[in-house]
Amino acid sequence: MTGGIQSKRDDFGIRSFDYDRQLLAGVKATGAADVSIYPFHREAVVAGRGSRLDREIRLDRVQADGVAVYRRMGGGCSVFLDPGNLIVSIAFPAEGFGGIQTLFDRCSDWLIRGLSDAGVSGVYQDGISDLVIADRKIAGSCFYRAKGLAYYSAAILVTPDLAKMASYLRHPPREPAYRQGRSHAAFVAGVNFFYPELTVSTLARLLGNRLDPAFMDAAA
Amino acid sequence: MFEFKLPDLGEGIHEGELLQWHVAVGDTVKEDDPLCEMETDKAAVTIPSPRAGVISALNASPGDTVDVGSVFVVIDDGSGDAAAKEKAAQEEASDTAPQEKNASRPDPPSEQRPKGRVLAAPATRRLAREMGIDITQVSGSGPGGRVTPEDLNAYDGADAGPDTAENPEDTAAEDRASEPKAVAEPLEVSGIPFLEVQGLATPDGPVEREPFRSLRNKVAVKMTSSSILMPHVAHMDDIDVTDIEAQRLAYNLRQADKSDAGREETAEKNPGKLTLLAFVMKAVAAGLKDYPMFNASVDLSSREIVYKKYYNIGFAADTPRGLMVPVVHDADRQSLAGVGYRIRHLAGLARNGEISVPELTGGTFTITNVGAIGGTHVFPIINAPESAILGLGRVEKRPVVVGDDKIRVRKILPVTLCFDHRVADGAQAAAFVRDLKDMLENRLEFMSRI
Repeated sequence: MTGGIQSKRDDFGIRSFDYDRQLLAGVKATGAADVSIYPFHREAVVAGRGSRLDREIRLDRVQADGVAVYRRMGGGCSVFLDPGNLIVSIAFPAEGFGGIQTLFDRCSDWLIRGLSDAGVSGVYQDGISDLVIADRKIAGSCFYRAKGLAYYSAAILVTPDLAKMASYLRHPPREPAYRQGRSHAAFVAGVNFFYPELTVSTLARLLGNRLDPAFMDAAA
Repeated sequence: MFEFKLPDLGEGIHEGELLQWHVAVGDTVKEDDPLCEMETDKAAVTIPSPRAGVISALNASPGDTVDVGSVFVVIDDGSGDAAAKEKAAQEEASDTAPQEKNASRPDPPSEQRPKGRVLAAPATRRLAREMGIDITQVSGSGPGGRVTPEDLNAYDGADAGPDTAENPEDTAAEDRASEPKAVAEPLEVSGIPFLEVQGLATPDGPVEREPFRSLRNKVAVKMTSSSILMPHVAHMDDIDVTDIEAQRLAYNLRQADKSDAGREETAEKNPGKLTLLAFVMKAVAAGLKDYPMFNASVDLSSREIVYKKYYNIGFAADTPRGLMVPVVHDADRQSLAGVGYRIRHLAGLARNGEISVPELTGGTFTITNVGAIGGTHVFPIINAPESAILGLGRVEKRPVVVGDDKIRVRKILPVTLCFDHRVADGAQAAAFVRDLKDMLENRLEFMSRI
């Protein structure tokens, strides 16, 4: 009765995005917040928990190219991940199952501060949870909440392949106001667009020293 | 029976989309067993069962939008006697959605509105919110009295019961005295010494009468309440925006060049174009952090000043429907260009009648700009429950005595800060405006603080 991450709407070969399974299991076992930072290792499309695949993904192209499709725990629309993306996830105990927006915002603030400490300044939050530099989205995030637990995961686009993103993803069915109808190419940018010297591994190392999960331990 | 209402999932979240049930009618559940998956705009939530029992009813299907506060699961927890039902009904009556709390109305026919709830599909409820209609006031024409979208479109307030003072469609003033009074009166002015409401004398010439309707009625209620309840003080100054205007115009020229060069797929011709309002808004958002009394509200019930730690700046927009105040949320955390985009985008939505309720609510401070039309200093009324508002006049070239005692032509922006004297004093207002002036007259000061 607990169910998986699958949705009744899925009619396409799709897997659960469980790269943070150990992170979540550890937090449930220990009751202490924890962080996971890792470069994504392959090309994949990751759908939100409630995404309608055919509305958001060009399934014919994805299938033709053999690109994996996952469904994540958190909400939001589909995204394209490749090795130019750095994943930053945090899970922490949180009382009850409400307070979503407050916790979500705290996680975004936490990551923005971490990025700033790592030398990536000028990042701000726009839309619901996008991280943005100069009106270009440089990271997307999702949030999952269950009783006693909160989980936040962000994909930072460091050196993304925007051409493939535009090829595999349709224009999303809903968009933040600041996107203003822009195409993926005009809306999204890699962090390296603003900081050309930055690579995924460099940013992973810099953030690893600066993102302390302890601040969420007492989240209510 | 326990009727489980979708609980408050977080600030500003009024509904969720049901993704998946983990239970079916007839299933036995323990407390904290997962009932379903809901999705808000970006977050997914597993809703746990609040009680142990047997699932008696599931009131939504995957894909439905469920309002916070609406019953979406019924659990037979063994307390299914008449007394328990009565208690549940009482609990529901005292714990309905906020818009339902403010209106007390004659009981509708029981076959139309069972248990005091309005029958309507989630999508219809959302439509009602977007149209600014209190759905509890609409008579349903659907099966069992269900309110339909057609009922909303046809609604003009005439079938409403007595309403709060803020009902935009309430024009049945002559009927109001005979109907029950609203439970939560937002304003009680009777008993104010020397307050006299005079009737209108017979006109001396031809007139045309127009009832207060819709947005005009809302504006009237809000402005009257604010001007009576808040002791307004105005602090005026002039800001030399010559340098920042030069910077802005140069920036806009560069953006126009980019646009001419074929910047792709943008909704506007000049997506990066900035107005002076964007600079002022960024300066205000930065300044409010040092002057929290102007980013506050008064909680009359507890007699406390509520200082807000977030900075949502509204701007008054003149639209074909009347005055609206779109809100740029978290203006302090957005770039100057980001604020500029949001202002333009929201103003466009407001003008086209496409703006949504969340984009009009949650403001903590308001800026009103009459400069495009004309005038010098403006004396704006505070947008309650905020504690201050900044009025901008028209930027004009004026002769100004500058540092070397020479007279120079400078561009001057007249500003007026109106504030609630209960929460702030004149010296604080003067200091706040002085800081704004420093930021807007000194580019380095501006760049270092935003």
